[in-house]
Amino acid sequence: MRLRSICARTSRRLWRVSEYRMKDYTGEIVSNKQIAPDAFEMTVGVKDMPEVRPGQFAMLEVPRKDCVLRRPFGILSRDENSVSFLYRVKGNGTIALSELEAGDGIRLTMPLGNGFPTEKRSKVAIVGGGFGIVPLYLLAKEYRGAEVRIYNGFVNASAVMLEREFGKCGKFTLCTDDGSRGFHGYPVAALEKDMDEGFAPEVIFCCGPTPLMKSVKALAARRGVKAYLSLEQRMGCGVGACLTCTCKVAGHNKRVCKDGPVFDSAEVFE
Amino acid sequence: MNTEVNICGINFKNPIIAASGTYGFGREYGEFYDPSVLGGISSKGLTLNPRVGNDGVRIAETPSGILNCVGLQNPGVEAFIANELPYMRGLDTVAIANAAGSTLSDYERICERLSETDVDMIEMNISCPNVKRGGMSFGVLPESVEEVTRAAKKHCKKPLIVKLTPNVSNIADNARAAENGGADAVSLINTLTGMAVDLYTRKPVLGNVTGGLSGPCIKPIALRMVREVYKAVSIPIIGLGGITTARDALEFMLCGATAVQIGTVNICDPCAAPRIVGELTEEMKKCGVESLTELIGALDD
Ligand SMILES: Cc1cc2nc3c(=O)[nH]c(=O)nc-3n(C[C@H](O)[C@H](O)[C@H](O)COP(=O)(O)OP(=O)(O)OC[C@H]3O[C@@H](n4cnc5c(N)ncnc54)[C@H](O)[C@@H]3O)c2cc1C
Ligand SMILES: Cc1cc2nc3c(=O)[nH]c(=O)nc-3n(C[C@H](O)[C@H](O)[C@H](O)COP(=O)(O)O)c2cc1C
Ligand code: FES
Repeated sequence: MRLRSICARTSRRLWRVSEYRMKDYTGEIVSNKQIAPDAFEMTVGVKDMPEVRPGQFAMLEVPRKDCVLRRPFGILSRDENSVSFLYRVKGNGTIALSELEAGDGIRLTMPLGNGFPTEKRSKVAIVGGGFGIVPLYLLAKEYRGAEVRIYNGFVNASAVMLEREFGKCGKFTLCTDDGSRGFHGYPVAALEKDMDEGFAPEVIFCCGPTPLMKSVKALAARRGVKAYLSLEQRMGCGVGACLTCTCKVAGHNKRVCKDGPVFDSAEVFE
Repeated sequence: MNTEVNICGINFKNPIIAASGTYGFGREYGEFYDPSVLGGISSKGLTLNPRVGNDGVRIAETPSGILNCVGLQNPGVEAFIANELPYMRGLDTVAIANAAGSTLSDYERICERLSETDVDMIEMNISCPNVKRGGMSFGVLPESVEEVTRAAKKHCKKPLIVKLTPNVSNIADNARAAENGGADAVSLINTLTGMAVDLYTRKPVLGNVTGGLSGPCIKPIALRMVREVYKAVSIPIIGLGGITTARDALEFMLCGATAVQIGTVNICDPCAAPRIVGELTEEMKKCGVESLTELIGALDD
């Protein structure tokens, strides 16, 4: 195709060559199945699947002409020829995505954003809430070998996802808001309890609803621990050009898509 | 086949220009393809001093379109000249600086400053609907369009494009006013003011309450306005609003545009620009034209 040849020709002339460089891909749905009442896990076959850092995301084209914007989703996992997502069916875009079937084509741009800083650490705490657990899975796997404690929270027992997967990555504490399973309360409370009992993580990573991230920020400040939060914002391009996804970081506007989505907790929600 | 067009003596290798505010200064798309495939790039809207833009949610999707209220966040004209212009200049494409202001003197000073640089053209945004002061007020009444154009033109040593807002009663009057004020070209349309609300929370979706509507849903309005302006002025027209394919682009030319800009489509698809440029010759074949200039204004109405 003509477009391909222009894209290929121009990309050869690019100066910044990095294995994490964002690119536009045409993939094919391998599977797209419901795993909880409002949750779908989708695997997309992609030739030349790029390397992905934990916490990076993709923009997925929606198979509906009137939905012009792509949708941002965290990358759950990858291998050489596929990438997986876990998404909540929420509005028009995700409803349309949930109707895709194996063999359907889909365009997606990835890997986007910087992801989590993953320097060597011996003790890390990972706190996830709801669909915020998605980008934390690759992160938990990255720290295999270190002392990893994971605290994932859900509204109730029926909303629990990826329990087995996270269970393999470290000491796992399942939390539910209503106490229908596991620790009764928010995951940050479970972490704080462990810290009271002697657990001293060097860093806390968190992704989830804003109130959860704010309470992780507060906990980190109280205990003098570094924390990184993966923020969510409405996005247009996802690649850093349109300035629609900004948030205040240390008093300045930063693009969640390009400068984030992960930021130092001390610099956000001020 | 010849895809070249000429505006005010400046040659464009093709009529596809990236629209202001949707393309940054080209760097991000430069990670996907060489932005030199484009005929030109219009920079993010620049103001004399840096602007932080609006707080809160800045974008919402609407049927076949988007609303935005970025509010002209930009690094300011000096940072543009120091940090961004050299990159744009390093590309093989026409560099257009898009300028905005809130007073007459802002426009004079920014045009004067940009005239000292090697940008090819200046596009004056008198229509951004997002900024409470300035913006809107200059673009709405024909008298003030003429006044701000005349003031800017006096200080402008580059071809001056005046970008018109569609949020007016008669856009042909405003185009005539720009021409009378000394504009070398006009571009249209900027976004249409709109809003989105959340029924269940009873709150506006956008932080700024209202925003500018763009994308495929505005194309019919943009085409109509380009045609009206084509019949009213003799300066060149750059048409935009909802273009997603080369076919859309040539429709604007048929209505009277000499070149076009593509905005929202870049946001929706990072590889849109090379695709649209790549489609041009195929569309020309279908139209039976050897040179794109044959199409300009040729609508049989
Ligand atoms: C970096 C990032 C990673 C994300 N990762 C995941 C994930 O792994 N799994 C998951 O289920 N969800 C994730 N989300 C949220 C997801 O993008 C939205 O739920 C989704 O876009 C909703 O689309 P819709 O068409 O169903 O909803 P609508 O409400 O119909 O969407 C309308 C518009 O609003 C935007 N929008 C709506 N809700 C959100 C939101 N919460 N965040 C950002 N944009 C929104 C949509 O993208 C679209 O442009 C992520 C968001 C971001 C910013
Ligand atoms: C996110 C966004 C930011 C914009 N910023 C500017 C700007 O700074 N200056 C300007 O003149 N127009 C700006 N525009 C308007 C576009 O340049 C264009 O006029 C409009 O979007 C219609 O074209 P389209 O439908 O192809 O996007 C912006 C549009 C969008 C979507
Ligand atoms: S979504 Fe466009 S800059 Fe972040």
